[in-house]
Amino acid sequence: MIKKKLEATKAEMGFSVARFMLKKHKNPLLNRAAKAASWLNKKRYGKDALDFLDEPPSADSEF
Amino acid sequence: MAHEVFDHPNRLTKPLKRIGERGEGKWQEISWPQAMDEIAEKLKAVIHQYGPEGLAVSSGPWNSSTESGMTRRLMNLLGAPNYISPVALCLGNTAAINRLTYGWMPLPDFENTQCVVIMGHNPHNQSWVWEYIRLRLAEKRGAKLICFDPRVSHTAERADIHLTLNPGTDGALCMGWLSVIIEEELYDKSFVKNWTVGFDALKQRLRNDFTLDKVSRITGVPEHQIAESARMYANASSAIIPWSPITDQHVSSTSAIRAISILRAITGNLDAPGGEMLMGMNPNIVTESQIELNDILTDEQKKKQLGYDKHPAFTFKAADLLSEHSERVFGIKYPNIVKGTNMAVPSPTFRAMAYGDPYPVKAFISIANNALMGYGNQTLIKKAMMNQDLNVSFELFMTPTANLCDYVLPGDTWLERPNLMDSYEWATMLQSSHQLYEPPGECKNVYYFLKQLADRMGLEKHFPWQTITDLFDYRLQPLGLSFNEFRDSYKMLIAEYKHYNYKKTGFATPSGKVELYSSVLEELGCDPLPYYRNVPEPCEEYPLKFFVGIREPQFFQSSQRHTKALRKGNKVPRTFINAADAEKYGLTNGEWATIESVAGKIHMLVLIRDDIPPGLIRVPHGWWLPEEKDLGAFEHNDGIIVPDTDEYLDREQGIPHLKGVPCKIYPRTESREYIGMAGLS
Repeated sequence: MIKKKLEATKAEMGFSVARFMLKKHKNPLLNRAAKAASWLNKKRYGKDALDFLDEPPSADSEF
Repeated sequence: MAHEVFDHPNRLTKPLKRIGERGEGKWQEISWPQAMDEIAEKLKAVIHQYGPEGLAVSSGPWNSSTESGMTRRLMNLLGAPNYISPVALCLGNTAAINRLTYGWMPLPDFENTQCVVIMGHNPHNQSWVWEYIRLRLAEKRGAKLICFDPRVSHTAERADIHLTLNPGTDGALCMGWLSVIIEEELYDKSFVKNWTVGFDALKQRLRNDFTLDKVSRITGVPEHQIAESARMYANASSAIIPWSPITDQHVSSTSAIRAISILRAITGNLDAPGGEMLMGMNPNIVTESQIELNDILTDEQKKKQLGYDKHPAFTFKAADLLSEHSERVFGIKYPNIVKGTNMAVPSPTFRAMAYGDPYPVKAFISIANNALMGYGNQTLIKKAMMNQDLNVSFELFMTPTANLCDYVLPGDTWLERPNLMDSYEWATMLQSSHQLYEPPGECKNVYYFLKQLADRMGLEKHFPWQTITDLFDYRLQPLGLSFNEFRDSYKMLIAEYKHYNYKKTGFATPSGKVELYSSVLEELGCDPLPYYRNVPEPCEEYPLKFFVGIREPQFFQSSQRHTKALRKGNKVPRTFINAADAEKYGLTNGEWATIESVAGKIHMLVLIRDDIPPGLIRVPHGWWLPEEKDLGAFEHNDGIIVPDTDEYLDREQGIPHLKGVPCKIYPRTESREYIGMAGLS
């Protein structure tokens, strides 16, 4: 039960961070912080988070 | 690329009025006021003679997303219940069926999940990109991937477990999983005890009808693989089964979707992190459901909704049984999630249009929807349209549907209008988009069309917004921002979301719990528990099965066939067949073949592929050839060979089976000269 609550809290914090990243901040400091959060978010998945978008076309994406 | 698609010589830029016979392609350009005056007069005459139920509207909500619920608003104000949409067999029906079990349509939490189950769906980098990115990132985090698919798709190749089931048997496989999970006590016992009803009845149904050996025989999946995959799903600390169009298009679609819903629930994944989020309505805007004014449609008119009694699962009949519970939990009686609830059923609607049974429907408006190509039994749809007093199409191009209309009105594209997107009430993400170009000629947005019609039908006070920006300003009032201020303030606004919300509110069902045994289905006269049913098996005359599917990345549904750049990579419709079957039936790669079912026949080019299992062929969706004289409308479309008799329709929803229909295939014998790519502008 405690584990579930912790996981829920972590996921809800993720939503808060996402909301922060997706706002167009007028304050330059907040704007830079949002960009940094966005950069860190991608880095969680390695050096090139979206490398799979450059994979060779599969039989279903080009035929 | 998108601009090239829309900035095209074939683009409709002025209202057109038919001057020849229907389908003859003879048109006169007229002004918007003249078109709207004449349409309103003819619609008034139909309503006067046949009642408001004499109007049917088919709307493609993805292509007219600025309508903001205004189509249903106009129809409800007129008293017209017969709104149909292709979402009846793609996502919308899933939303409606999910509501029967736990009151809402969940959004999968890809961000935190540990296990993803993909059923037949194959998102990739040119199709379903959002889901593809979320899925691949989840895989990078180490989430397990289980794939149901008769063929070896790109997703199946990456899966930890790939279950190569027989087409159309996904629901049975889910019931097999439930058997394993319940018999091995892998379910969330606390959740089942406190938050579900009908567990014992479900258990009995599983023991009677879904023993592992029986499920294995139906699905073709070995028993040990069913058990192993069920354990992987149930033992994951969190798991999701994202929506798939596959189970939307089965003869036992309702049961399949219900079985998936039950899996989500009894494994404790509902509203749990990494599971399935029940997000509810976005409190920052006036929702489309509120704008639609579904409350004002009288009970008498709701009962006239076509399909109401025979196939009630997504009609007003089911929605009314859930309305007070939706209001209790989500604050609205008729949440129109993904625009898929409170709808009429397409097949009965086209029958009423064609034959006047149970009553005449004599006016048809098709909004951003190529209806002739979008549903099963195209032959019926053509007959239905030919039997109308008034056919109107709001479109970008002269589609086969528009070609059978009396008036064709030029619409705008997503690049030519601002927009406010509210995730179709499935989730609470709110986004805006910018207008990049002025609409060409006299192209207008869909709200303009609906307002012009409403004004002429005496409903102007209910459509006070002069422009869509005015409308968006109104919708954003709860947030305290204008549309322009919102656009300048947010890339996206996600409403606050708390897990396990049901502990405070209960679920939006009559019992307040997850209904494994559905009281709503029982009251509708349907089986309250999931069951398995399939279409007739292949026989001597029709020895193969076809499925409609595999998204073609060049096109969206039946659109974009006029674009040379896109057609270069995909010139004509192609059926996929494996080499052994091709040889058996005398087919040659790259040659034309005829595919025939009990409903009709179509022609496609043969493409031999080793990912297609024996006995199965693939038919692409929505093909027509705009360069041909008859637009190629009646030779290639999958809907021609999709039957809609009772044995091919889901009982509860009345939607057709697209995943494993008996058919035959043979080399094309009729000669036919095609103009080909040279005919494209």
